[in-house]
Amino acid sequence: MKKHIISTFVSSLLLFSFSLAYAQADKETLLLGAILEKNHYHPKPVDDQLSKEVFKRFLKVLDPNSLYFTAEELKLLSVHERSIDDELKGTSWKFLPLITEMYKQRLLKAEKTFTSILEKPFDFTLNETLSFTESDSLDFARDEKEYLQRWRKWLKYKTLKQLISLYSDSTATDQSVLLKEPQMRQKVKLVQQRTIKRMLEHPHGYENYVASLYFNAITYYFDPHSVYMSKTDWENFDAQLSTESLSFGMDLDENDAGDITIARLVPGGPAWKSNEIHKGDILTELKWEGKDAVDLTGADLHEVESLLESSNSERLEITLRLANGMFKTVSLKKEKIRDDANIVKSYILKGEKKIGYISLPGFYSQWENMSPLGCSNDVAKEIVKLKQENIDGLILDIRYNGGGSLIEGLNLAGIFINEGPLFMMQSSDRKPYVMKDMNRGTVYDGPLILMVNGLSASASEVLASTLQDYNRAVIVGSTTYGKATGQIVIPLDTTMNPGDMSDLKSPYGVATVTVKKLYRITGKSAQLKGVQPDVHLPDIYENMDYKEAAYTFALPCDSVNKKVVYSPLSPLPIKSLANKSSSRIEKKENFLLLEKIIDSQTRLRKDMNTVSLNFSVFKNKILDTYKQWQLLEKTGDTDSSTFSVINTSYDRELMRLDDYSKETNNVLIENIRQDIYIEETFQIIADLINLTKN
Amino acid sequence: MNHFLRFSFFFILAGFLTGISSLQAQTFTSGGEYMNFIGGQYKEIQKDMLSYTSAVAHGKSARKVESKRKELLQTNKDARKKIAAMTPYEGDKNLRDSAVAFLDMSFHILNDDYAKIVNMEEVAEQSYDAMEAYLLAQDLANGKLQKAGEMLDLTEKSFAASHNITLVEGKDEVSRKMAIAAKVSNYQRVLYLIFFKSYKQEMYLLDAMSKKDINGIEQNKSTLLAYATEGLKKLDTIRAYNGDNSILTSCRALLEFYKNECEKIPTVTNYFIKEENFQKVKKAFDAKRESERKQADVDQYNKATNEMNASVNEYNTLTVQLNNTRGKLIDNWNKTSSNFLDKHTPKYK
Repeated sequence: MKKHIISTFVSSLLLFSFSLAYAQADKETLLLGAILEKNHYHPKPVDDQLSKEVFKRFLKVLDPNSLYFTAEELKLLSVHERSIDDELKGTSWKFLPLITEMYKQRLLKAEKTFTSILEKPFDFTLNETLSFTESDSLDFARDEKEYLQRWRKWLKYKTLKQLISLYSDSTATDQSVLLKEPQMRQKVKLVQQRTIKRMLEHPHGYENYVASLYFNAITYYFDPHSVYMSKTDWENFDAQLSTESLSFGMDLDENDAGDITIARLVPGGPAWKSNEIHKGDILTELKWEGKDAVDLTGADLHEVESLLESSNSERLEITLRLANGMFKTVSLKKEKIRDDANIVKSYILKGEKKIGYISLPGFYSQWENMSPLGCSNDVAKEIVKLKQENIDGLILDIRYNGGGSLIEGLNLAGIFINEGPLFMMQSSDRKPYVMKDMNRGTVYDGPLILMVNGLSASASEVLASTLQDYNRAVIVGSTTYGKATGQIVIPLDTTMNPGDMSDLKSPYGVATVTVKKLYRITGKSAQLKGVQPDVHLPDIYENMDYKEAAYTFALPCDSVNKKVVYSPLSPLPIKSLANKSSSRIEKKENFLLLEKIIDSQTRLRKDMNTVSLNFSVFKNKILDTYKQWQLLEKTGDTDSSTFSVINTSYDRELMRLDDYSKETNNVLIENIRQDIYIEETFQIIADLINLTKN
Repeated sequence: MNHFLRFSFFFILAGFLTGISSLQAQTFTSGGEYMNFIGGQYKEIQKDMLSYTSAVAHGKSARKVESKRKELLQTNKDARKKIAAMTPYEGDKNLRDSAVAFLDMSFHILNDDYAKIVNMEEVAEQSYDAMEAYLLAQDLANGKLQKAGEMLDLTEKSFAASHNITLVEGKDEVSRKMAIAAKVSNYQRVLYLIFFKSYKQEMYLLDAMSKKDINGIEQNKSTLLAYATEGLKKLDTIRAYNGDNSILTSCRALLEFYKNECEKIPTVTNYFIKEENFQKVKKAFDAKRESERKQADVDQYNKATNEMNASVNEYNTLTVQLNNTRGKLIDNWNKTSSNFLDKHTPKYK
């Protein structure tokens, strides 16, 4: 009887917390809808059309491969296909509670299903195929038989992929690979289990996790960059952007056996101070305070890093396997330590010319209300150091730089442009505003190359297009991402001050909302189209659909009709540079190989809607590309003979005392020396210097 | 806005009023009377303007200067009202309307209300800061006033011709003094703008220095150097005013200081970068457990500390020296400018 009372009490507590989560989701839905309608650059009507699109998107996000749900659940859910708009207006609230519970049951069923299927070995001699569902269709299994069939094929495909990865060992044979089938099947099981567990035991709570996905399905309908973030997500995100972020102070790596190891310890950080964690130790288990332990067998680096990022405040117990085979558990709490990944670094590339090289992989001032002395000031400092070394030219590398604060982009352009308008912004009032250089004058006025790629986005594209419009820099690389929109972060709780977001005193989350479009000073836009480089270099990702244009609800590309007075510099010898580069590339083995991979990958992707699950057929189809990749990696291990990489005198001084800096520096120098794009860019800037001198 | 910048600009306006108010009708016809009435109104404005100018140039109190400005505005307003109330002369309303339009514009200019005359949004877009926008607005307003003045001049001539009036230029004391005051002011304005361009630019540089903003320091330094060099070139083409080269010399000394200051900025930049680097070195040193420190580490740290101390001294000496020199030169420029205006501007009321 007593037992019964306790269990009733526990269940009622659970129910209570369950309903609390929904009460908040209900309120957050209303707040989110109102914020989008009031602030979005192009608010859309909250109607049946919205409802249908959000319904579809939400189901696709919950079940991207149409494995969890069946036609039966779809039928039950479809009753609400046209009612999401009512939920945004507050007149109805049924859909999210229903689907959250239903999804949970489906995840639990899936776990039983794949565990059972993975008990038995797969027959890879069968000539069967797996078809991937279209990205915009809700094509679920019609009955239990088809449901099981789908799961079986999916797991077989996953196991097949694991088996093919074993060919990274050059001594591998078909026989040795196939012998590993049980282990690979076990690995697939662990990965699938962790996938389910990550959702059901989400650090923010399962209901909150599903609600977050729902909110993002709503924001996605407005455009891909309007995003909802829960309070916890926002706090973690905000902390990560800081140059002094909260961290355990340990860099991880994956060894050849697939184990996650400690690669480096940041001096003075929590891991370093514990004196119990050492380089080379293998992470076997992570356990957040008050949560279940997570076994890391088979986990990849990305998964472990995500796990480590999931909280900033709780203690973490890390279980390690030491070099002597013993196990040890260490309890750590994150602390504010320096994060060198966020700090700009400069190098001198010494060859035919002496070239300064600065890599800026991210803008660490993400929002306009942060410190005015952000990365542009750090770039300026590095340029001053490089100028003291008498460089002949400068390469600024913003590949993979997804943008950040527009003011930072503006300040960065200002380093190289004397004065004048830099770009235009248009808010929902449709009036274009000209953004000007913040400081008159330049920090550097010599030959300049800006390296870009498909992942250079937003503020990076503003920088690239402005320097291009002023003829100030040669843009080298591949077409940029194509995001010419600006967002602001708005707390869902309207009583909060948007100017002070560092301490969110509200249970509700925040919304990042697209509030403006950006235009070049010519009036044209890089939205969807990106910035076309002046000198194109082949890009492994160039035929993939990952850029802005691939998103259904991306804002369109248009132009503004406003005359802006600016004085571009004399045209640069773009054509000659491009011709010289292209004849060089034609003879470079690594670029030829890269072109081959791009070709075969493009072909491969075209007929990847259906894949064979026959071992030989599958292997033959992808192993060629896989081997080309390996070859490329091998050739990538060769240092450039075109230049050597030297530190500035300031960095040399620092590294004499700081072993950690020295170690990370050596890795970075090796990366620069082996980067085929930097090598080619070095030759392009040498051409630029010679051509402009003549 | 300081009275000097405002008042020096008034002389652009004064030029027109001087020309018009000195017109005398030779034949005393009713058409002549008509013109003389308008000329009489201009004369009142001119007197107030000279009085205001004299107050500014001879160092009267701010309260007095402001009250003179208000009188001038009121006179302009009254004149406009009286002229607007005139009936057309023999059906010809061109002269009256032209004069009213001109006085409307002069009122806005005297009142610093450029938004009524020029598109301030365009002005803001083409300007770097509020002061530059103000000066650009003045230039644009001047252009419009020039056009209005030319139109008024043509209307007067056409009126005189159609009513058989011969216009001759007359000279009275107010007109003569006004012409001298305009000449002094225009001379001073040219030098002031040369000085001010670099002076303002240095403010940006000093602001960036106070924030340790290397990006701002380096950019503003390169611009200050360009402005000071350009200013010095312009000064080479300007002669002394009636043998008085005091403000020319004072302006030159300041621009040479700015140039010299720019050449010394690398010491400031290096100090900031060194300071930051030293903090990193210190942090790395402190992070090493004492048992791990080698003699080479200790020596390296001591060397970095000594270098940092030397750099601090160099920076302090330089900033004190720059601050002292700048202070003296600015002080000298202010005194010389006041003395120059006091010495050369005619006294009135």
